[in-house]
Amino acid sequence: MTDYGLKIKNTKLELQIDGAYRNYVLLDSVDNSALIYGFNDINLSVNTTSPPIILIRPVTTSLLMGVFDLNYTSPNYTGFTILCDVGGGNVDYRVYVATRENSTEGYGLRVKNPKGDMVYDTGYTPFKILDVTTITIGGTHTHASISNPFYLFSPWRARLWGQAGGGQGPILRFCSGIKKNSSTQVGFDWQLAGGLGLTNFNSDTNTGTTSTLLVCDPNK
Amino acid sequence: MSYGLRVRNALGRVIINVVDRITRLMYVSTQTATSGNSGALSQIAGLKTTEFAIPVNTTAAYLPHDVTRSGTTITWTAKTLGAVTSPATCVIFCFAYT
Repeated sequence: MTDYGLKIKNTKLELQIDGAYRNYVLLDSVDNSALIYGFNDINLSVNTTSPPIILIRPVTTSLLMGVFDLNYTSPNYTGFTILCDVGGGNVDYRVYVATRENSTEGYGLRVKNPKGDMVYDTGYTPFKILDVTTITIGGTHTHASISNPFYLFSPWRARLWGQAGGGQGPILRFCSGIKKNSSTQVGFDWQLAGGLGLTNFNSDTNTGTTSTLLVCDPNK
Repeated sequence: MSYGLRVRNALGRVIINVVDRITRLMYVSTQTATSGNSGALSQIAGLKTTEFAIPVNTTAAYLPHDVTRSGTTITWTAKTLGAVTSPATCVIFCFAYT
């Protein structure tokens, strides 16, 4: 532990708060944002030099979607892109950043590092991971004790599929995405991300079929 | 509550509890499109972590890195798929969550 801060251990004797580490806190909270098929650029409410964490919660059931990338214009992160499958739909999203600014809360606990930078502040809503698992294309993950959480998966997987069809045919590109099956179950599958030209051969390749899935606090 | 720490706000609502699992950032770094590398993170010894990559300013022709952990070392690996895709610049994150 550093010379400053607060050290707490839980029943597993694991560090909880320490002046050496920083916590991500809620910046943006948006519900029912409309997505069209394809790439949807969304701006942050405030530009930030801290790489943001973007969590999504599909509103539309059985619709594949995923965070595709972060948008950056030096020196700031300005937004992010969500890829949404054919048909479009709606999503709830949360943006978390590391901030050195104090919250406006008058009560609670604030931990600073040796430089005086805020590293933990109970006035903020923290980014909280509840479960980490592996999810596979065509599969599902059930979280029976966690209702309507937010998700992050990484990396998104890519698939190139080509079909000649008696002559030249298309090469289609797919990216992996999650879909809401229910309040306690999420699915994972390929979603169409566009075409990449023509081919004379049948082919089907990918960068893998499994990703890490984070199930995160819905912050009710 | 027999031990630990509990903090309440002005309304009396519990805003931190010693049994809460607080997610902490252990490492963050932006890695260029073609780099594959690793980092030794002694601070994650004995902790459960998750490590992952999020692409930056990418297109459908670029791919995110794979990130793995072995002991206290996390490794990120650039990915390609055929001749039409390349590795993307990525932010590498590592969070402890227990």
